[in-house]
Amino acid sequence: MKKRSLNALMFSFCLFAFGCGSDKSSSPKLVSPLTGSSAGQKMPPFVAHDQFGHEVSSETLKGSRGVVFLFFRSADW
Amino acid sequence: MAAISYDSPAILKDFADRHGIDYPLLADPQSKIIASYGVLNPEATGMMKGMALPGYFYIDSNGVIREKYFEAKYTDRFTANNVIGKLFPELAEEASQKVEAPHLNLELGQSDCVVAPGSRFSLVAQIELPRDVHVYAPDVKGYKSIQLEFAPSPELEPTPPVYPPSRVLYLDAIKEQVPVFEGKFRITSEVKTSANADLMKSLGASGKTITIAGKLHYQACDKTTCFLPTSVPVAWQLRILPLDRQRSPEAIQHK
Repeated sequence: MKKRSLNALMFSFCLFAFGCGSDKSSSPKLVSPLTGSSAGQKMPPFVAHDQFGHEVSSETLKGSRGVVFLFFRSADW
Repeated sequence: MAAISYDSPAILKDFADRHGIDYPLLADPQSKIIASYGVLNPEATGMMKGMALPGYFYIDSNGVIREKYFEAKYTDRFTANNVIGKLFPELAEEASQKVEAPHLNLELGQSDCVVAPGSRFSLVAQIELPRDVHVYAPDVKGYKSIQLEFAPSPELEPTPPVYPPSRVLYLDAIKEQVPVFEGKFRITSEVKTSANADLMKSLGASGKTITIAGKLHYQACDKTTCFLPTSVPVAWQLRILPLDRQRSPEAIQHK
């Protein structure tokens, strides 16, 4: 895992995390404590396109040490 | 490692180009992946309908979800270094500084030196005691235990420090059993930067550097002598940058 690239990726998302402009769903009230797939469950498989238009599957992303998925709100706002 | 959002590949490419990101950014414009992982934000409306609740999943090589890191508030999130440090300590990049302290070697570390508002990062006090020297663990009675204390700050929300397991030492001279730390050990604390309006306003266009101040209290003893209790000032520097509010080109924006 390339540390510096990963850190740059994550930091960029953190800086972009909240979005800009009006955000009616973004009042800082608590959303329910997650929610989401639980530890111990099998990961839901998927296929998606990356930023280069390449098709990528969850299986190919999973390396010998597993994989980390970051879900984020948006790279646009 | 991959990041997933409800953005189009075009939005993701624009973002990746601007920030020099070469890891996969996966487009999920129908929010099918987001929904399958149970992180679809049910309250999002308008152009935000379909967006994910932000956070991390760690999946092992057998495809089983092992850990997840999410916050209750969308404005808060773990930093990547914090997550990596928990999952793969050998890959963690931890900044460190040595501090003068009586009777022990003290080194301060932090998972991140630069963060965004609402970031959850970690602070470390790594202590190394000389041979035959011990300090008292927090659950000791009748002695000055080791304690890492943070000064209050409106910009930070520290969690109570976490201490390692202690070991019971039998003090023959006084016929007592006491919980102690010896050798090398770490005290860690997770800290979150505020995301409130006051902090955001104070960052201006280029951000600011703050000092996270505190004290390490302890009493060191060797086989024959207990030294006077002492308190050593500790401090970490942290740069907080403002949020990036640049949108994608208008033609590809969410509408």
